[in-house]
Amino acid sequence: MAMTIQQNFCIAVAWVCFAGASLCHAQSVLSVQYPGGLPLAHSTGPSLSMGGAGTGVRNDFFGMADNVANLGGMNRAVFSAATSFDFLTVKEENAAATFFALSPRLFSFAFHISPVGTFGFSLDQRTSMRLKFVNDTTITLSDGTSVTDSIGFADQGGLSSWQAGWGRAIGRWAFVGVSYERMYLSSEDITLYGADLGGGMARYDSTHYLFRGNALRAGILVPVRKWMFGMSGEYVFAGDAERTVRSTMTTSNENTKFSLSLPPSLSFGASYAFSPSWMAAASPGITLWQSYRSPVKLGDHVDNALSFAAGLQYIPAPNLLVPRYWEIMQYRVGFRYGELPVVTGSEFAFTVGIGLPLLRGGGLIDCIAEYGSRSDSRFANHSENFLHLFIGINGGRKWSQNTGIRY
Amino acid sequence: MHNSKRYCLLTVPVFLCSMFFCSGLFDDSTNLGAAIIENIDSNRVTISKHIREYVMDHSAVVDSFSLPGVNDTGFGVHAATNGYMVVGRLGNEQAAGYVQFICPPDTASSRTFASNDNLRKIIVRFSRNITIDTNTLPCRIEVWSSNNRSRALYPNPASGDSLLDTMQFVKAPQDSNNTATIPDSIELLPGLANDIFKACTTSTRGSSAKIFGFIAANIDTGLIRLNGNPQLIVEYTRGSDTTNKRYQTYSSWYTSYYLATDGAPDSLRRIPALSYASKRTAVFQYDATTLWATINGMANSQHAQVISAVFPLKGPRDKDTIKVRYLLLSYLENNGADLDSLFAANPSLPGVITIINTSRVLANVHQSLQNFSQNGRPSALYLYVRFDEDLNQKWNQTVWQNVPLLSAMIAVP
Repeated sequence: MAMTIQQNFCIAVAWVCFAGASLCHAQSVLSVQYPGGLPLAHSTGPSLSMGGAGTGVRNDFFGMADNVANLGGMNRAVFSAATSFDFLTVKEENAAATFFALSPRLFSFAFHISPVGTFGFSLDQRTSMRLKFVNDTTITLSDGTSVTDSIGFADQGGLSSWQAGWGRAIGRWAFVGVSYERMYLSSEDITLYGADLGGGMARYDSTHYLFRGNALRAGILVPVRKWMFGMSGEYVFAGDAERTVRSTMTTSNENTKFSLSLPPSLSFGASYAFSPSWMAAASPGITLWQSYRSPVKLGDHVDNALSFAAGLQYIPAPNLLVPRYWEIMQYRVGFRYGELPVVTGSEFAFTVGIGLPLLRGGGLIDCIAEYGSRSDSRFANHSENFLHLFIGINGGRKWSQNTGIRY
Repeated sequence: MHNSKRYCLLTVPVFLCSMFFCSGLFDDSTNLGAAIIENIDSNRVTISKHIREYVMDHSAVVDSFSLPGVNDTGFGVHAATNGYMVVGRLGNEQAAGYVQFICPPDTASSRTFASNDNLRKIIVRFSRNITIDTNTLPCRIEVWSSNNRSRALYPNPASGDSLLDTMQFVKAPQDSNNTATIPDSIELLPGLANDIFKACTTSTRGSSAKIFGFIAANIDTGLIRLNGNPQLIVEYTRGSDTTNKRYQTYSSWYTSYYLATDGAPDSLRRIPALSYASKRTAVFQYDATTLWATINGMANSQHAQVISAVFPLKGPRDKDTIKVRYLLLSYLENNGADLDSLFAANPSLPGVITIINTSRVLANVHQSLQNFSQNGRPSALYLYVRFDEDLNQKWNQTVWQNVPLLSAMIAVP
């Protein structure tokens, strides 16, 4: 018994160390330009491993992340979760900095109630902003004394979405789905100035944004022979936002309430099953940042952002009755390119992934590596290269099954 | 045992991963991307121009002078509660002590005399040990009977002060340690003694307390430190018993002061002189227009914040450690009492610093300067410097030769 307590304690300490190590590092500098931060890929594991090209794919384990209409094709209870270990290297001329962060991305759950359809719930992180910038300079005053002039800038926040959706099949020729979203955007910008000649006090300014809003998503999937075509759209209603400014300059906080409109988005997708072993998918999309409205400055000037993703899936022997394990493993590659909310910024990434089936198709663990780069043409000497190691866990099971036998 | 291995297999990789992520391979912050951050909103964050220095030059120094103990209130008054009074002269400064004894009102039952008590004599004992600078001996102290005063003044016959006696101190043979056990008390003349005794007798004293004041002043050059608590001792007998002497002692613990003044000569007023005894305060006047012009020249100057501002104070003496108090105001405060209040009222505004020999110590004024920046940005600034404590017990006097010049760092968003 004593041994068990020690073991549990060791494990607890290890996980605390791990979480602490993972969550304390900074991320993209470019992200501070975009309202709410850097857009994140928020698909399930199988879709992530194909570059996120899941809008035109009908697959239980793609969940409702890429296309809510995917719910319509499910006839079992399905859950998916994905998290990412993010490694980022920021380069500027001859200098570089490397960061690590643990980023939970998505959790979704869906269950089928015949004949009503399938209901789904999900929580996903849409954008992320995390940066700690510190710059120290030693300057010599004209009276000969030296002082360290330092500025610290910290940004933290992001947009998360809670979603409840429903989907069902319309005959054999379409799947449709709709969902309601509750969105939360929070960001905190802190600036700290210091230059202490002796007994001085650093200047502290912080701005906190908070937005709560509602959104609707809708999607459709249409199978045509070996093709599957899909379309998914999202509209975010204008919502109440609040900005709170604090500073050592003033004793009272400046509080401003305003209306914020986040941009709608639209994506199309198509997939083609060459054979039971091979499947290809592609998905272009656009986020209409020109519809973004905010009376207070939140990030830089934004513009519509196009995106494109494509991927390929290969399963050596999906239908063998007694396959070897490697023959039912799912091998995927993908590519994605996307403009960032500021028109001069873009990013691309290549992905490779492997899906490890469990429980005779009832589960799937995805191990995915995504390597890419993002840049902004206005800052030619600045680049960010990233490696995302995703872990996706998916499971599905039928709670009840109509045998079709009448006695 | 099997479970134990399984736990180890799980725990060890997690620990290794933690160590990997905690290792120096990854950065916690960066200084890259300054242009990007600045590009977001240059009104909010400016990396390159966010802090501006201001270093005052001598052209901003308008005047330097000193303030004497004007109005005889506040300036130069030292309460004797720390155990001694200084009486005498040193250079252009002179000090006199004031002692006050209180006979309680009729409602009190202690320390009073009955109607059948007979006065023998009353003495005023200034101290049991008197520290004298032996170089000044012999010296003489005059003791005056004085009208009631709220603050000590020099004896003034026109105000009703009358000379009681003169105690003369001579250099004693055993006086090797500058400590003389010489006469330290004076017997009051019969007339005054009778008045005091009568006022303190039960049948004749009134319902209010009676106050008797005395002034001790040195008529020769030199300083005498009267240590201890001054006392008024009444020697009397009771009834028909004329052999047993009785004594009643009145203490002046909370009602004795000594006051030092330098006479406020114009020669001292024109220089930034400091004195511990007379609390002469050095004042430096600056033209602040260049400071505000520097701030106004910055972007978002209305949001500028003084984050650091110092006057480097260099000790004026080679060997002594001095402790000074400083205060930055936007106006000239001539009234000594008001200046005393400003020094004492808000301990966060003035500072106290200790300067060892001729070392350079920074007097921090960023909070005062930030207040001025936000409230009118006055065209003139006045730095007041005075001794806070006589660390060397030498009755410090000095002239501040080096005019301190302001250095400041101003931050804008």
